[in-house]
Amino acid sequence: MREPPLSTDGKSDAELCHLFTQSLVELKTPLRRIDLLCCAIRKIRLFESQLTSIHADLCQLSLLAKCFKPALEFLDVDITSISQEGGQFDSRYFLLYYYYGGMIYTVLKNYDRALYFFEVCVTTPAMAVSYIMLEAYKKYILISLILHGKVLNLPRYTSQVINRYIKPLSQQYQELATAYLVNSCEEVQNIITKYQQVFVRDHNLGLVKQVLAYLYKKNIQRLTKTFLTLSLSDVASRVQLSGPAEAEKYILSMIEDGEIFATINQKDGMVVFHDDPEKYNSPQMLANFEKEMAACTELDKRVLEMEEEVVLTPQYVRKACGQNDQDDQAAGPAPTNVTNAQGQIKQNTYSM
Amino acid sequence: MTSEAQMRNTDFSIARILSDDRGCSPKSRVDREKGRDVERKPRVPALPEAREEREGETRRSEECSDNVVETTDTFLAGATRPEVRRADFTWLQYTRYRPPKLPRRSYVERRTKRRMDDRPRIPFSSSQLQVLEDRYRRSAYLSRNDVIEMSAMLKLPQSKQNVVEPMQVDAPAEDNDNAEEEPYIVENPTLDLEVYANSYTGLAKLHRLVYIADHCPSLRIEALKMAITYVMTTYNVSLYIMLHKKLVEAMGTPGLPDVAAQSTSQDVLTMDQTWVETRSKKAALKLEKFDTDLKNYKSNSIKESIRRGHDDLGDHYLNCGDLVHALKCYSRARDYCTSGKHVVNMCLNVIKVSVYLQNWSHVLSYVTKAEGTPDFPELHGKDNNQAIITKLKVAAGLAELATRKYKMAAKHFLQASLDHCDCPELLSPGNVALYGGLCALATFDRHELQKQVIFSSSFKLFLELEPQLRDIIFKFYESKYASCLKLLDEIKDNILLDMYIAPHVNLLYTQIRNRALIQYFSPYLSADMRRMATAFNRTVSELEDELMQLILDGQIQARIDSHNKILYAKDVDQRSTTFEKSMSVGKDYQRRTRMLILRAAMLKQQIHVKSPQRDSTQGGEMSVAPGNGTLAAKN
Amino acid sequence: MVPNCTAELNRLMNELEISELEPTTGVLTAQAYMRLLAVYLHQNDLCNAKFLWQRIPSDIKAAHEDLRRIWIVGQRMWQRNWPAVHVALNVEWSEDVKEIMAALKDNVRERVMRLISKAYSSLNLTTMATMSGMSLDEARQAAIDRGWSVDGTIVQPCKQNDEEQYSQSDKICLTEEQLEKLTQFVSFLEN
Repeated sequence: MREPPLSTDGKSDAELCHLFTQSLVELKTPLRRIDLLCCAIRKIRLFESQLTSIHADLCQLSLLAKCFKPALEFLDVDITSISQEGGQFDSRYFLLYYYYGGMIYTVLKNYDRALYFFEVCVTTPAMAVSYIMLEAYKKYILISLILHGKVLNLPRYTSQVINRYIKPLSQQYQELATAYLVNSCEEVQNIITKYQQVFVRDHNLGLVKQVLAYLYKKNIQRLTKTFLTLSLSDVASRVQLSGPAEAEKYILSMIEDGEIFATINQKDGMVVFHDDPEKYNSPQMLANFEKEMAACTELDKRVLEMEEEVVLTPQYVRKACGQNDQDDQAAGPAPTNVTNAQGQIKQNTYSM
Repeated sequence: MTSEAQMRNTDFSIARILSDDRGCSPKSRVDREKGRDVERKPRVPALPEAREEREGETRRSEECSDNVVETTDTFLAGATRPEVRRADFTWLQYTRYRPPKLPRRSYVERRTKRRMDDRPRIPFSSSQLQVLEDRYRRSAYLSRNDVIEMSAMLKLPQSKQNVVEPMQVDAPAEDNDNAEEEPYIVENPTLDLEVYANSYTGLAKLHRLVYIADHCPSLRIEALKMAITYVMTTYNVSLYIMLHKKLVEAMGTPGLPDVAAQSTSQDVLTMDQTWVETRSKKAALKLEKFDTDLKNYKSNSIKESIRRGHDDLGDHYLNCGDLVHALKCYSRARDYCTSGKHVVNMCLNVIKVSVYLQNWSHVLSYVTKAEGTPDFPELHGKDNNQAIITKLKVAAGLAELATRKYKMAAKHFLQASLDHCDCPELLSPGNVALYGGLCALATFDRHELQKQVIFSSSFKLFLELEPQLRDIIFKFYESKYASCLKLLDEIKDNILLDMYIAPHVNLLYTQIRNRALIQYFSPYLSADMRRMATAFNRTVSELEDELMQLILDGQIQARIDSHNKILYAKDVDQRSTTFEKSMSVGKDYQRRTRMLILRAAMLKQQIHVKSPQRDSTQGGEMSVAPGNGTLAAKN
Repeated sequence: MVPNCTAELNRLMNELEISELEPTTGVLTAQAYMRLLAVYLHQNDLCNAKFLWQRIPSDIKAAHEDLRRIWIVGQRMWQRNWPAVHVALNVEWSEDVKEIMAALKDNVRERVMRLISKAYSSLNLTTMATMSGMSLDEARQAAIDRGWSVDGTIVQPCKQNDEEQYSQSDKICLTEEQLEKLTQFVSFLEN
């Protein structure tokens, strides 16, 4: 749905939207004008996957209004380009967009996507650690624990400053992660009690509690990997639950969510664990695979296109042909950026 | 910093992020480190330095421009000497080497009382410091009698004279956290100390004896005495004094079984002051002589002589127990090596000292250096060459062992040859057998074990030296795990007295045990856990836990039927796992590529977080903490 | 309007969502809120239901008993406390939401039954009855209807195969279309 932009540069529109958002926040009526912002974004962006600074405003409003559906429409699109906005696009809006977006996904329990958003926020090139990044990193740790059971390393291209300073800055969360790694619920609980104030202050307590709940689930999942049968009371004692009844409750809800495959035998009080019954032979699975493969192909094509684009820029050609530095300096900082991106593309493309 | 300000600085909530106080975001830190942005400093939250602030530093703002290493160092030094904590005591910051491990406190001593000299962090008066510093300006190094003289002058007790030794101040302990073993005590060793000690020479002997003394009360006095007798033949005065003190303390500990020693101990108990003095003098004289010799050689610039001069000096330092200087002298000889033979020789010297210093990365790099010397194989006679290779292999094995690379260690040890294993200043052939055998057991699979250990003609000879170990390996190979594990437990006490392998014993033993479990189960489709438990001297529930760990680590492909106590091998459906894997790889690829494309866009727009100057202008645009409330309210 | 099938419910949901965002009104009527909440519950979209509840103005919440009762059902569902869900569902609903709540009730019961068949190889009849909100006799009857064997107080559910869903979802034809996809894939790999 391409519509002509409101004005030529889009800069003043964005300004207007920021001011508008701010006044809405102050009036405490965020719900009212969400659709107006949606409309503004549709008009200002040049194509669907372009990010504008209004995106951040929209996310903020929808968080305030606790109404996420309108924002999801925009969040679900993968950003491939960033609006110029007359050179005024501020990195703060970029960070905020990914931070708020991550929060929205967290709230809706789409943890995978939330992790992606927080990761983008943390890995933004930086000369200094922004508070937004720090908060995003804290949430990144928690969600990473929920999803993967450990804190994933940040990718290599993360800025030096971040790697150096963000860990000591999120000390309590690091401790939580170490406690989590030994799979001891007690330890995690201790850390939570110890740093409760910090977590409350960061408004992360709810998420931290979920981390603990997920640890119980993870421990049960570990049991399914090692045992064929186990009595409910054994499950309870190994996972440090209060009793067979609670264990049954956990197992039941995990079965429903498809997180484990098991059957409970109430007569003997035993649980039988199964392997994943998915045999990858249904037509549906095949269709699923085809979809995934198509997505990969699509992405790969995109990368190739971008590469071609880069290869065709005069700066790149000059650099690649080994002309001396004078030209580069004349060309300004752009070529380094371009080649940077180029290098990364090359590193990361591999065929399946 | 007031408590209120502190509060504000540690408040990371969104409310604060978005509040108007953005001027003092941590971004300013980067600038400050580059030495700019001076006027903002008081408002800087200085988050990464929170550690320092907690220490109550008030003067840190003056030091901000120092780099990190320097500040931490001045901390160590400055903690006790607040009045003169300037950064120009360069010798206080000497951190590259840590001293040899042995002069540490033992477990028992730690309990009785705190000794003054183990951590030389002594509050000097400023006048004492003045003297020390003047002395340091004159010459960085002290001879032994200089030390004694100065300790008298400074009215420092004898026990504190280590402090005066400049190189030993504040040795950092951070790089050896893995080697810091738990204190333990071995009660009933079946070790013949005499024989044991005779298989080593030089510092190896001393270190080992001290280690035994530290960990085995029943052998302590005997070991210390032996060490003292031996140390009297060297110039190592400081070690003598230390050993002597240990001995006195050991004698003083009541309730030791060795009553007979009390009567004869009088002669040993008194410190041989005259010996100390004459030795110190002699050592100093010798040092002077070597020094002048070296100077002469240097002025004549005959390379070969200079090299020898350095070597002699190094030997002398080694004899005095000054390892750091010995290492320096030996490595200086490197520039004057004219032939491959000399290079190898230099490497061997450096390796030796590095082993004493337990600087394992050094050992490894010099081993490769020696092996990489051009025309290394045909340098020496054939026999001689073998001996050198063995020496290098053994040293490399030791280093790998210490850094827990057991498999590499085993491989190195296995390449040693018994006939040429003559390096008592490092370890005995029996040690080679023990280290190599245990590491091989813990890391080799059955096939490797058979080919490289049991059928290896050269290593067989080593194993003959340690019949118990040989039996263990054979029992293991014959799958008689119960008796194998029992034998292992029997020799455990003795192994624990070996300074190099002791820290790794428990780890190696568990690995051996796990390997046994894996091998036991490998041919079965299902196994009765009760029978298995008897085969491994364990109760069923203990075994269950052990197996659970192994399964979780992916070392055994099996599932436990806890109801019937049966272990079932798991049949892995290759097709499903492949599908599963390809699916996850595909997902990962998509995720990464998406991020990549986004990143390219980011770079194109030059989006990056900048230093705070700009941010402060836009403070106060938003003032609420949206969404956080919803997160917190969730549960 | 009889919202009995999913498509219709979806339509209703979209309508309500849009009208909520309508800048002129901003706030919906209590009836609309009730409907939206019930629809969310019916779709088991508990997250959105929760946030809808949080953004309903408190005066409306206070004024409408039914609204609160619907949310109690939601809470119980959130906790997966099935017996309590059924208790909360068994009330007389007002006209506005009667149909949706009835559909929700059926929906929940079906979900519980499927869960039981999936998760249990044997269970007590009483457990089954409380979980599915039926009386003992009803539960026994339901079990027999599904072909589960009932032995005294022990029910032994058999697995329901979900195969029907697959088979009717889309008949993948191994024809030219498939071949074309394969060709595309191979050509991608080779480039």
